[in-house]
Amino acid sequence: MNYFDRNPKDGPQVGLSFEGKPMKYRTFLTTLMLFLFFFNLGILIISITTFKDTIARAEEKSLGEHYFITSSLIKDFYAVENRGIDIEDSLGALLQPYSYLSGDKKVKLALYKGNQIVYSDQPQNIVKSSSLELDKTRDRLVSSQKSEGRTYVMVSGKLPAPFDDYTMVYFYDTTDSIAAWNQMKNMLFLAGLILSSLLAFGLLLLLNRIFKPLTQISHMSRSIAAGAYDTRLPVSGQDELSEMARSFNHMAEEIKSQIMQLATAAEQKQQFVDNLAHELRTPLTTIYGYAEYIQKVVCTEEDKVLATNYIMSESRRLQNIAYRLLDMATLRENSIERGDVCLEELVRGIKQAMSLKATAQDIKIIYECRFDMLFCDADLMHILLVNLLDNAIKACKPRDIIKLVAELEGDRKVIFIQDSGKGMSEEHLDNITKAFYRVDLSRSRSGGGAGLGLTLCQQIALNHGAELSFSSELGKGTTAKLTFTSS
Amino acid sequence: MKTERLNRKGWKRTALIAVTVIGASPLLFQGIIQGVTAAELKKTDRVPTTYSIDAVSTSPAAQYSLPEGYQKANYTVGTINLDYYRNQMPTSKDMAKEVAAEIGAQALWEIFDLNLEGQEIQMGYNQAVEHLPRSRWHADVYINGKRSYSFEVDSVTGELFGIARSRTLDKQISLAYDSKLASNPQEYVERARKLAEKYNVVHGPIKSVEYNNQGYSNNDPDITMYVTGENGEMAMMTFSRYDKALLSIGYSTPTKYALEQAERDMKRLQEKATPSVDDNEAPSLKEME
Repeated sequence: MNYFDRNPKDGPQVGLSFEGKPMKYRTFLTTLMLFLFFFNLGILIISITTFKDTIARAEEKSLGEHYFITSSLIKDFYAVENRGIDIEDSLGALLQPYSYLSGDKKVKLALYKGNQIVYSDQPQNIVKSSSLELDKTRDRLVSSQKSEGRTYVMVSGKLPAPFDDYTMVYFYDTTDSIAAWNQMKNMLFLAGLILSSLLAFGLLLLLNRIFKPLTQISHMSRSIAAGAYDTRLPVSGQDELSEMARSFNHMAEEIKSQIMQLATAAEQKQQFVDNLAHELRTPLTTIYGYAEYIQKVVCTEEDKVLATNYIMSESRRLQNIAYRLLDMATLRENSIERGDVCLEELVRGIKQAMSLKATAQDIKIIYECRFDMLFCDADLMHILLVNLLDNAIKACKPRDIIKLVAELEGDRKVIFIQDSGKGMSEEHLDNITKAFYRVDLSRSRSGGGAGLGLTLCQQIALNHGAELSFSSELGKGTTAKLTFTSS
Repeated sequence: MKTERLNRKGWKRTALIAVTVIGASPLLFQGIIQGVTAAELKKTDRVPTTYSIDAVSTSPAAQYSLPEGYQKANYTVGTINLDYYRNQMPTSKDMAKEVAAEIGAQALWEIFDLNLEGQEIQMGYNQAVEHLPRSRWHADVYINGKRSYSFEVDSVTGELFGIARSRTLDKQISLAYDSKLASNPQEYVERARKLAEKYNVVHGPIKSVEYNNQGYSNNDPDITMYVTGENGEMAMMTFSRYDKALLSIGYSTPTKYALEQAERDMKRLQEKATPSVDDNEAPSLKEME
């Protein structure tokens, strides 16, 4: 199996392993291999170039000296021949002067007549007979030959006519030059080996540093997945890695925020469902109980009337709850139609709706309007203010005063509903707009309240782009404040 | 725990692969180099060659082409009376000393307008040596019993290696180096060019004439010029700074050998002049073998 093959059992893999390690190792090995390839290729090119240069220089020198010796030898041949002396008798003497070239033991000469050697200043014969098979174009052959562990550049060429049955062979020992080149090449590779090792070490350190944030991200992702939304990456510097860490932290922040919102929403929904179930259970139990009573118990007509009254009132309350929930759903899903409403008209309608109830409770409502027009949906605003006043009446005792004040706060329009009732604690204030929330747990729904009044008020305020807030002090009263953000 | 174990395993494998790759790559490339160099060594190149053989030295009639107006003088040919010359004897390939003397006599007639009637030429044989790997005849020419000229001839080919005039000035003249002349030797350059053309010193058209050095001998201050031919031949011509007279000509063959020898000596000196490892120790030349 390939080392880099992923095992599905190793956990989820998104582009890199869960730990990021194989990617680091892959990057390390790929970079190292690329470096080694090009570095060694460089050494190879340098080595081959210098080798060719060494051989070329040796060949150039050999060709030059071969030409020089041959030219001189021809002159000697002519001169000796002109004096009527047999060349072959004088070959040793004629070639002896050139032995100065082998002073450093690097040059060797040989003269052939046909394939027969007639002069040589070397102990061993290192000439391949094939080297002597020259054509009649008088080309000289230059090549490298190995003999007894030594390397020679060999130049062989026929002498020009009339001495073309002679072949002058010149050897130049390049063993030392090639040994020097070999040493240089080995030194280069050794240096390359050391440098490669250092590079590998450095590369590993660098990649550890580069991949560290990825590892941290990996750990952090798992922490976030496990619910630790406050986990953050350390950010330092201004490089791409820091930028990535910043982005990731921002993402984590957003995730945390979204999760919190989702959790809150889920909690609210659960609470809503719990409360709704609770609110439905009482009237349904009552209805079932009275219905069963009518069915199974022999009762008087008066009792029947009483029971059916109960059944009807509880049914009405269920109907109210249903209508209110329907209203809220409608309010959430539909945009409302707002227009300029005369505040005086709005307050008049509220007075009509509330005066009877307030009078019955011996509570006085004072209306103060300090601006004329309000941009709103008149019906919804009526419902909202009536709901707030109704709650205020419920919190007040006889002879208490409730104030409805519409005034300007800076450039914003504000409506206060202030009562001098029993007030409530801070804890209750945070929850009063939740559906079915009851401040006084002992209070029954006998009044027919659906427990959705303030929730509906909050929704209406939101639809108007207004902010509904409450302030209260136990024993001193509560103030509901509706602040309009748009005129 | 499992992840950590996998990481350790992965790290070990990576390290193993890295070490293997680092170790194997030089071997692989070494192998490639060996292959390439082996192929390079197996190559055989053909070099078309034409030898330019000087017709003068190859023609049997050459020795009989005499300078204009030359008539063989009646001079005696002797031997230089020195042990050095007595210990060296010509071989079968060498020309006789009389033949070499006549080549020199013709050259003296042509260059120095010298008639050797009744004079003496003393000859000495030189074997080939490293700095001049040609056997040659050296001649001292005595005019009225006084050594006045000398020349050297290749003992095999009869090629003239050099010709010189020896004189001792009896005047009080400066032998010092003339820096003015060194910076402006044009007069001697022209003179050298003119005479080199006249005597065909480089056996062909002249490519350049360059000032080389100044010196003196026998109370006679001199200046030497390098004459280079288009055929690559190089000769040295020495003139007297006293009266601009031509003192000597060194022909191409010995000049080239001398330059090659100088190059070899320089190379050997550089090899021997190893810088000291100890910085406090002065660099020194190692003894030459």
